[in-house]
Amino acid sequence: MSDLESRYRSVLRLLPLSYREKWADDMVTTFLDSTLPEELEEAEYVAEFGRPGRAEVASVVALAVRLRFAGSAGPARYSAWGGAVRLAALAGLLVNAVSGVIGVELLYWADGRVPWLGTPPVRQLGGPAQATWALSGLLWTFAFLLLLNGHRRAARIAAGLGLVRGLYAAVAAMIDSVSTGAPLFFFSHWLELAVSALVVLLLSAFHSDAEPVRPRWWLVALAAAVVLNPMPPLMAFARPDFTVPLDWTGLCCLALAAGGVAYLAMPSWRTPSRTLALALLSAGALVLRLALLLDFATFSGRMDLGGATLPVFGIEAVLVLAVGVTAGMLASRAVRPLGVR
Amino acid sequence: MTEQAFFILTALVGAPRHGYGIVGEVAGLSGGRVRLKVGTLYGVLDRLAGDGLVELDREEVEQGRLRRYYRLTDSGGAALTAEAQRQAANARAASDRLHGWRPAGQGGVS
Repeated sequence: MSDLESRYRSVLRLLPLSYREKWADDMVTTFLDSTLPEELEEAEYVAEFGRPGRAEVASVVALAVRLRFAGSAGPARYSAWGGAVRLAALAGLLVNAVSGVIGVELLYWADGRVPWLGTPPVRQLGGPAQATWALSGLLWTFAFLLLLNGHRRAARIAAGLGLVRGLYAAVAAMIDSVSTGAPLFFFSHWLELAVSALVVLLLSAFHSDAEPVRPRWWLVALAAAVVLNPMPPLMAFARPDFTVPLDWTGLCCLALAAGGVAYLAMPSWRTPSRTLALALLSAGALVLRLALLLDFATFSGRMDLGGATLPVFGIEAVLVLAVGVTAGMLASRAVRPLGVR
Repeated sequence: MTEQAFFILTALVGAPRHGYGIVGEVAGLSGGRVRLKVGTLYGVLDRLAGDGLVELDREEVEQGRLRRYYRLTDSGGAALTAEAQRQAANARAASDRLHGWRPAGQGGVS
């Protein structure tokens, strides 16, 4: 076996075993036929030093995503994974979509246009730069709505731009910390960015074989989040006379834990996809919760965090962990026996 | 039917072909516009075989490498015929409309 063939076969390992058993040898032949030059000496050189081109690798990656995250017509196990990944990606996108709306609401509040929320602490928050920044957070909201309407490619582009926005925020925070000595929320910025990047990557599971998203309940969820408006609890808990801290990640952790417990308590609601998605979402929420805990632990001596902050964050992490581990165990039991052919 | 599936079925009309043969034939049929990568080709072939539109014709071992030839099934021929007729009808409808039309800049009515 030439080095080129060996390299191409290692790329093919991305494909499920059952698919490789059926197609890999023929794929290798076709790849070598289309890659090796006719002239013998040149062909020997390419066979030894050549590598599969980016487009060839990309086509195998796309095929692997389509097979491993299959639609309902695919093998049961890959179909369960596909459903779970799409559900988790949509939920992740929903969280960012709501966060984008809250950013705009905060802008209005800082501008004194939401009087029932009380007086904003910093009036100058509502400058043009902040307005542009808050509005750019709606990229995630657009991505969510585009995906619900079946515009998968446009949704991926909008979410990708949202990711660039997050990268800018992380880099700007680092520069700001270096120049002003402000506390750097290193883990929060970068792990939040990593989780968002994962959400964008998982959007590739919405391929042509996947069933279209049923938008109704997702739109209801977005509308409910906007109407119920998570800002008042966040603002109330931020007031000095409240001693229990609550942040956006904490609110998401609590909502996920409550929803997760309700779901796990109702066996008739359970499907392998949903349970697996709950485990994936719990893992993401736990990473985000631990990130801020790590940041606070890093500069706890330099900041007054309030006595309840770390214990409350710790409880949120434990709740999400408990739901995630339970869901993970149930999902493993439900998915393992499913067929792959 | 996707454009790739359409060209792959068309490439198999009349003669069984192996993977590389299909890639070359599709490039020729599409005037070089559709250049199938291997992952794409076998993704579509797997689906077409699953739907019973193509099937294995024979296997040959050449220079130590397995080479499989695929052929169009009767269902594949029927599906391709239906798709070709649909596309031809679409093209005819557009051509009929375009026949008596001149762009607004050339004195036509926009």
